[in-house]
Amino acid sequence: MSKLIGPFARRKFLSCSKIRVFEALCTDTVVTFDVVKENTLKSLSYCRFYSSEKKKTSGLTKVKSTEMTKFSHTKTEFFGVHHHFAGCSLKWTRSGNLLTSYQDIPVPLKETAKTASYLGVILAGVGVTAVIFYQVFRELFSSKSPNSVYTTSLKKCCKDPRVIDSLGEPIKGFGEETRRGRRRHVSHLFYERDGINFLRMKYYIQGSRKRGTVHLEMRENDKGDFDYRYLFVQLDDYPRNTIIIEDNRYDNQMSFDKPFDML
Amino acid sequence: MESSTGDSSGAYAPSYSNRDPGMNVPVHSKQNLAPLSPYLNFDPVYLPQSQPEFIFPEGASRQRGRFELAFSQIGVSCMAGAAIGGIGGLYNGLRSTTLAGDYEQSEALNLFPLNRLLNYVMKQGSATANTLGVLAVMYSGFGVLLSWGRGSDDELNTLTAATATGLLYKSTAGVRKCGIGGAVGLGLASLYCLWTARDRLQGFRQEYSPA
Amino acid sequence: MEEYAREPCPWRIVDDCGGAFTMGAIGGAIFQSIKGFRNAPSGMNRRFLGSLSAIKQRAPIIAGNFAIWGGMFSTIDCTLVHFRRKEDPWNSIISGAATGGILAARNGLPAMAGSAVIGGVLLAIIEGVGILFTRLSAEQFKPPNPTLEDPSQLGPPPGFHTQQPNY
Repeated sequence: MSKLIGPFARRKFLSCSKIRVFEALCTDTVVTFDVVKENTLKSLSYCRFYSSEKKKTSGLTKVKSTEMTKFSHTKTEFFGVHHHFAGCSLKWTRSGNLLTSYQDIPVPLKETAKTASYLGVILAGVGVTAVIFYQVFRELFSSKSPNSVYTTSLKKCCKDPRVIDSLGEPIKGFGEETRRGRRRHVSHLFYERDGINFLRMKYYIQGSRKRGTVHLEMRENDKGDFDYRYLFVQLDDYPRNTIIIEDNRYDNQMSFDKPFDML
Repeated sequence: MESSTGDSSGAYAPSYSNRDPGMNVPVHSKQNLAPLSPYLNFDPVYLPQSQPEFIFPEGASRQRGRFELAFSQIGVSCMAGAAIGGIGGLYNGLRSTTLAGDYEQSEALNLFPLNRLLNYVMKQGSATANTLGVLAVMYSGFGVLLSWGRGSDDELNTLTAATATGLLYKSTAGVRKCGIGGAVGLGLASLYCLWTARDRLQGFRQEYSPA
Repeated sequence: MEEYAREPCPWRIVDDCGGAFTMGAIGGAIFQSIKGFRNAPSGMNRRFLGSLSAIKQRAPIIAGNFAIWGGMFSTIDCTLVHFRRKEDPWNSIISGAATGGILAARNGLPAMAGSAVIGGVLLAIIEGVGILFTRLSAEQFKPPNPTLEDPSQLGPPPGFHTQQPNY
C-alpha cells in the first residue's frame, strides 16, 4: 500500500531545492507523507508532515501541512530511530531514505499502556466529578435529602408562635460547628427498622433572646415520602423547656404493635 | 466546642447517636412526674444537662494553640497591611495628583484623577498586605514548627520564631541586611514578650530589690 | 464558655482570609519554585537562583490574590447567613459564584459570567466532597441494628401513663 508521491509534492507545494521527498504511504482515504528539510549548517532537521485526502477519482487533491516538528538531532543520530506520526511508523535508513510503514510495526506496548493510563485517569476524573455532582444535586433538590428536611422543618419551627415567643425573632438555623467556623453540616442519621426508613436529625436555632435545639425524626410512608414522626424544640436555657411542634408517634396510621421505647 | 476541638477528619463523622446526651436524658418527669430517686424530690429537668466545661491550666491565657491562632494572625496582618498600605497609597496619590507636573503626565496618560488615585491605593495596599502577610506566614510557620518540636509554647518560641522570620525575610539581601532583619525581629519579639510578661517582671523586681 | 457561645461569623472572615493567604503562599511558592527552576538557564546554581527569584517575585502576589478570594468569599457567605437566616450548602455555592463574578468585574460582563459559573461549580464540588464524606462515613459507622429510643423530652406515650419504668 505504498506509493511514491515525490514528484507530485515537489511540483505542487514545495519549492525549496533542499527538500527531499521520501517515500510515503497511502491508505484508502488518507495519505501521509513526509518531507525532510535538512539544514546542514546547524545540523538540524526539520520534518514536516503532510496529510492529504485522496479522492477516488482524481487521486491526490488536497494536501495540507499538519505538523512541523523540529528535530535537534544530527542526522546520524537520527538514523534508525523510530518516529511515530498518526499511527505511521517512520524510519530513516542509512541511505537517507525514509521507510514508512503503516501498522506493519506494531505500536510499542509502552505507548498503548500510556494511552490506556491517560484514558483511565480521564475516565476516573469524569466519574468522580459525576458522583460528586450527583450527590450535590441530590442534596439540594431531592425532597428526602437531609438538607431539604432541614429547610422545611426550620420553616415550620420559625412559624410556630410558641417558638417565636420564647426565642424571639428573627430566628436563624445552623448545624454543627466545625473548627473553621462553618456550621453547615446538620447532624443526621438514616436508619432502618422493620423495613421502614427513618431519618433522625438535630440542629440548632437561635433567636434574638435564646438558643434552642431542634430534634426531629422522619418516617417514610407508603408513598415513599417522609412524614414527621416528631418535631420538637428544646430551649438551651435553664428550665430546658420543650416545645413539641409535632408528635405523630402514636397516630393511627403510624401506630405499631408496640411503641418503640417499650420494645 | 466538641466539634471545634475535633480534628478535621472528625468533622464529618456522625456525631449523632443514641449515646448523645442531648437525645436521651434518662429522666421521666414533667408528664408523669416519676423522679429518678425518691430522695430527689424535684423535677430533674431543672438540673443542667451535661455540657462540656473546660478547666484551663493556670496561666494559660491563650486558649488555643499556635496553629489555631495562626490563620487569624495571618488574616489580621493581611488586612492591617491592606489598610495601612491603602491609606499610604491614598496619601501618596493625593500628593502626586496635586503636583502640577504630574497632573500633565496624568492627562497625557488619559487617566482621570480618581482612577489614578485608585491605582495608587490598590498598588500600595496590596504590596503592604502581601509583605505583612508573608511575614505573618513565616512567623506562624516557625512558631508552629517550634511548638511542635519542643512540645511547649512559651516566650522562647516567640523570640526564636521572630528572629528566624527576620533572617529568612532578608536572607537574599546579603549577610548584613540579613543580620539586621534578624535583629529587628528579635527586638520586636523581646518588646512583645516584655509587654506580656510585665506582671511577672514586676513580681521579680519586688522580690529581689530591697527597696 | 465564651468561645462556645460566640458567633463564628464576623471573625470567620479574618480566619478565612489568613487561611487562603497561607494556602496561596505555600502553594504559590511550590509552584513558582518549579516554574523558576525550569525556566532558568542551565546550571544547577542558576536554576536554584531562578526558582528563588521566582518565589520572591510571584508567591506573595499569588498569596494576596488567594487572600482576596477567601476574604471576599467569607464576607459574602456571612452576609448570606445573616439575610437568609440559615446555614446550608446554598450559601457557599452562591457566595462562590458571587465572588468569582465580583473579582472579574473589571474584565467585562462575559468574563464575569464565566468566572461566576466557575466559582459556583468549584464550590459545589467542594460541598459535594463534604457531602460525600459525610455519607461515606455514615455508611461506615452505621450500626447494624440501631436501638434508638425516642427522646425522653417528648414524654411517655399517652397510653402508658400508669406504667412505671421498671428499673
